[in-house]
Amino acid sequence: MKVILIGGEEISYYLGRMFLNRGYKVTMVNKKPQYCKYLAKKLKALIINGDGTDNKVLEQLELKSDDVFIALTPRDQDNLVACLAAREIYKIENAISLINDPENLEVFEKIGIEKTVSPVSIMAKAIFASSTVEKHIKSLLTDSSDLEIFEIDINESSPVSRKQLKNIEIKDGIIGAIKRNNSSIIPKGDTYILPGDKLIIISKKEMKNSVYNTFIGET
Amino acid sequence: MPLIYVLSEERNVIRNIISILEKVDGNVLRSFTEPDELLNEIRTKKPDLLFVDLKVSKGELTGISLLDKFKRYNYNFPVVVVTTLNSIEAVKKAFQYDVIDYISIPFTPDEILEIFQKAIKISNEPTFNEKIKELKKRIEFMNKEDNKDLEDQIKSLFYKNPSLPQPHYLYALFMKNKNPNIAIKNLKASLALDPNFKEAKYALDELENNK
Amino acid sequence: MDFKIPFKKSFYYVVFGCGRLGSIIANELSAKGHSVVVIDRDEASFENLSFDFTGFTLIGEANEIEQMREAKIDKAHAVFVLTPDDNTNIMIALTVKKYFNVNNIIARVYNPKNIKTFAKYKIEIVCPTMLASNRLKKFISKGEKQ
Repeated sequence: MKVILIGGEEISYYLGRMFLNRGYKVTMVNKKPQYCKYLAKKLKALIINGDGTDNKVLEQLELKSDDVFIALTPRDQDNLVACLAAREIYKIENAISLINDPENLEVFEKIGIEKTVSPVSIMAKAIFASSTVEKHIKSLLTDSSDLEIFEIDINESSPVSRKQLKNIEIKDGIIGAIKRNNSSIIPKGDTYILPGDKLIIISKKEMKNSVYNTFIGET
Repeated sequence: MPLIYVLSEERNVIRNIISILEKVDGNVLRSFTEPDELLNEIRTKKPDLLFVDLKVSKGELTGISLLDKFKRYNYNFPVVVVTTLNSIEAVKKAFQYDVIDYISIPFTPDEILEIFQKAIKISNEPTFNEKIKELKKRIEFMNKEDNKDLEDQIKSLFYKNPSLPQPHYLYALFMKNKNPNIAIKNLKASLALDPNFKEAKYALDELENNK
Repeated sequence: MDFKIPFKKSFYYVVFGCGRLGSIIANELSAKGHSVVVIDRDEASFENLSFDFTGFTLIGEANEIEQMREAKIDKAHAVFVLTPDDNTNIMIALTVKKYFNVNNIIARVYNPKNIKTFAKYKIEIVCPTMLASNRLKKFISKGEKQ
């Protein structure tokens, strides 16, 4: 088994270095002659200068079905074509594609390339998980139903702070209870929301974001 | 013969809509690039359907200000706004002026045809006043037993126009003989919505005098 | 492979790429009274369209899914994939077919080796190299007979 890296610059260099350090055989294909020279100097990998989506180049790689094939070019269409060739012609099961435009995750899956990595969506998830929005919200129930129950901390800057419930418009959701000073309030229309309150909210899953906007403000 | 007007500054928008709708037998199409021309034409002859490109802007007249004018003049022909995908705000605004639908560029022939059919259906529906007249006549000549359908139609008028006095008045006429008390209640409701509603006043006087 | 163009009423066509071939096709469809949308990342390419072209133009990366949505590709009666890049064409064609479930697609490929990829997914193709070489081969065999 060997590892094939198609295209990409820094990312292919770091991946190649990592696999080599772990004792794998690594082949790297790159379009740019300059970069190939650099890779050849730095890494003990087999370096091939050429277009990794071109069958003529792939033929030289002596691909086997148990190889790991990773397409890392900055163009999703090139990664797609390389992985399709690896899978269809060389029967490689582990054909993995870098996905630049996260919207393409679903596209690749529908076309049949299921092993994909999207750095943008991974970063986005990490950012959202640590962002202020999520800090204010604790999800109480996440099962497969289309309902969501969660807790939102209200502070002074919340758009609903010091407003009466009847003046707050919530689409597809209700405030089930307010936790204030260690006691609970079942709210009515004339109840005021105060800073420091914790609201228990029940909403449709797809409305969660609009509920965030209502209570925390534009994020 | 449906008369259709199209207002847009863009040749492609006009030509696309026209080429799609002129294939429907009987349609008469007229296009305008200037809002003033359109307004003049409407004064002479009202269309069965009007497409307004929201991007239109000439002096004080914009797509939205035109819609505002139509509403103020009580024009009740169906209006469809044409817009680009990224102007959702403008579309939201347009819906405040009772447009029947919007269409985003690029549009498909099927989308245009669907809207056309919807509009024609709407413009063929009798207006509110026509409907009132018709129902009033039917109440006058109704027979004693079978008027369930008539009652349903009056009731549906209620639901569609809860803030107008006429449906209450009609229902009062309908109930006058069967249950004068309900009739009086409805006439009072009708007068509460419009104190100057003469017919309701007369009917109420008459019922109360008979008591 | 069942690429066919229905021509009775107005149809809705999307053309990817407004180069020499793309613009000829877009002009032709428009001249026949159909609704056409042409997508190209280069605004200048739309100058290839004739004055009588009545369709719409969209500027953007042809293989972006957002762009395809804006073009309402799911409503297209047929899609012409004519950018100058084989891999881009393969991706567009597969996306249109698998993601948007539109089956009436024709794509251009330059490299005859890519024909196989399209055949597997039942996408109609036109390959200028093959068209030219077939024509030239006929010419050669004609010469041999004489």
